[in-house]
Amino acid sequence: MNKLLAIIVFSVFCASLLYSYDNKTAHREFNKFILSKFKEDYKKWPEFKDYTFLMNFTTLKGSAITKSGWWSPTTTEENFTADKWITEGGYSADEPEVPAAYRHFYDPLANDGKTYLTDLNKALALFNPQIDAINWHFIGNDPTNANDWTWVLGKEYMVKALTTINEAERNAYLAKAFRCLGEVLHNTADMGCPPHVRNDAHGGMGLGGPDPYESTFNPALISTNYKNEIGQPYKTIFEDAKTAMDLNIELAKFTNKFFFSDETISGQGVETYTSRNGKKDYPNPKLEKLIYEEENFNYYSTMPSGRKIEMCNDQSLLLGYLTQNFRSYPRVTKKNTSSQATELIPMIVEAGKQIVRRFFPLFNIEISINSKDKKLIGSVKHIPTSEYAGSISYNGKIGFKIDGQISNFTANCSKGNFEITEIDTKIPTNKKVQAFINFADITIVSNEITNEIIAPPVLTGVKNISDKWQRYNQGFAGDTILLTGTFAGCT
Amino acid sequence: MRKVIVIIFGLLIILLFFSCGGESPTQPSDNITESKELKEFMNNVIFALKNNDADSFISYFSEKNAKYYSKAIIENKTKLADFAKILENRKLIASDSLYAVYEVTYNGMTFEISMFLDEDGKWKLKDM
Repeated sequence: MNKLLAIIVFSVFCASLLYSYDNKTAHREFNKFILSKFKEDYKKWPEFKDYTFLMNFTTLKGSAITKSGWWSPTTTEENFTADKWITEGGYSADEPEVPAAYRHFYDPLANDGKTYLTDLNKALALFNPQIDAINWHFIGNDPTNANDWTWVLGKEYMVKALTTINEAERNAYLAKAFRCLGEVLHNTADMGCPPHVRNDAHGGMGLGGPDPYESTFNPALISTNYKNEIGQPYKTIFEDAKTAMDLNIELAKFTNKFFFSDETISGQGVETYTSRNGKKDYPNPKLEKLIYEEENFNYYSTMPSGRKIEMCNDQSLLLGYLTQNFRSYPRVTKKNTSSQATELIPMIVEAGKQIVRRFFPLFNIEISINSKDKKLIGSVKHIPTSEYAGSISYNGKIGFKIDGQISNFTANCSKGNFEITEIDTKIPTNKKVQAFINFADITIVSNEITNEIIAPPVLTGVKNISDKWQRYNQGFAGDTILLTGTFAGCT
Repeated sequence: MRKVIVIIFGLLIILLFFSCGGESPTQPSDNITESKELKEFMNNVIFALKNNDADSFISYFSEKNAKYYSKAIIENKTKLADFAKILENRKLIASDSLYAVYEVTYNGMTFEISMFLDEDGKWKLKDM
């Protein structure tokens, strides 16, 4: 009976997690579908024409948070694949939970003079880190506690991984790099969540009550809406963003401009409303600029995507029953949340996909054959980008494909250069050859060339067939000799 | 009795699978469970309404939200008991540890009423 009771209690607890913008389900889902969209779209980008992203087979050992905690979550050593590290980064970014609840806000307009959270009940607040979410996730220089999983560190780990020759060390750096990426993508999802970009605290401990968008958000909507079209202007903005940080800032600006959070609704409705959290009203959106539909009590706005979205609702059952006037103050309902999610989810996924795109350094692998020395010479050249402006000298193993099949011979690349000697004995004549590098199931291939060097014959027998006496070891000019063996290009 | 327990156990296992599993929650679902605290809170609200106890009813609202409703409640306190009947048929449509939303149907219209766990550790009515 006790067991049954325990199961019931546990079930109720788990069921309570079914909704909301939490790190256990929603943020993992966001990261998973951002990665999914990246994998669907990367072949369209010319810089990745030689890349293949699988990221789902090789395990990389590293430190992961495996049990939540307000102040001290549990960290254990785990072997996750790259995509799992990214998904789990969505979860671990909110750990420990209490400080994360204060640091994950960014107001792109600094409407209250600061970009970090100022909507705090100072009497109840446990601390005030005075750092905004963009700074925290990208740079992480909070004087109270530095962030070990920032974008900047993630890129450093990526560079270290690609410049070390030691395989175990490389995988350890990659685990850290992908966790950093996952934590930054958590920030992307937050920048597409209205209360996080409108200085609207939520969650208790001096942060006021919960926010309806966060609390009624259904994570199942991510999988059903992540492919929705976004507005063309934002496609261009995301495509053209120079850095990952710019992407999250642009997303935050969009969310701030087009959406209310529950306590920052302002404008002219039944009466004039100001932000319920007591802070200065935002310039957009405004109730009087929206379309109000009396039959459902919703305020609507047409988004850049063309979708008509429910912004808030002022229907009141109690006032309607008591006074016959069903209109009250505007707030965000669960139905409004689901409507808003159809616009915000694809925006998050599109921005996130572009962030993943910028996380990978670009390399061009080139190979050529030096016929005279019978060598294959190659280079792994780093192509500088806004994110990886410095030079990266790749060190590590180089694999080869012969006619598309992975060969068992390899080369070691040192400072971006590698070579294979005696290729006439390794690569059959007229076969196509490609070099490649592979890390965390991400493959970059070189140009494809054909080996035109003719391999030396392997003789197995010699016979002088014009000398009828068959004198051993003797021959005369004009004799016909029969050679037997293997000759390149002959069958 | 044993059959009933087996069925309940089976349903709970299904619930566990869908709510705690590592797989994607692919289907939006409205089947959520009302916690004991929430049920208790709603019972207290309904009790106050049934007694036409305006002050007690207002006390269940958060301070921020009470101001939108107090006047109408005080002026129409005799209607509260009947209003309680509407709340008897409610459906929980969203819930986490801090927030809950019920759907109520009245005169063919659907309404959302919401409540939250305040910083004093007590559930409070937010929007009704």
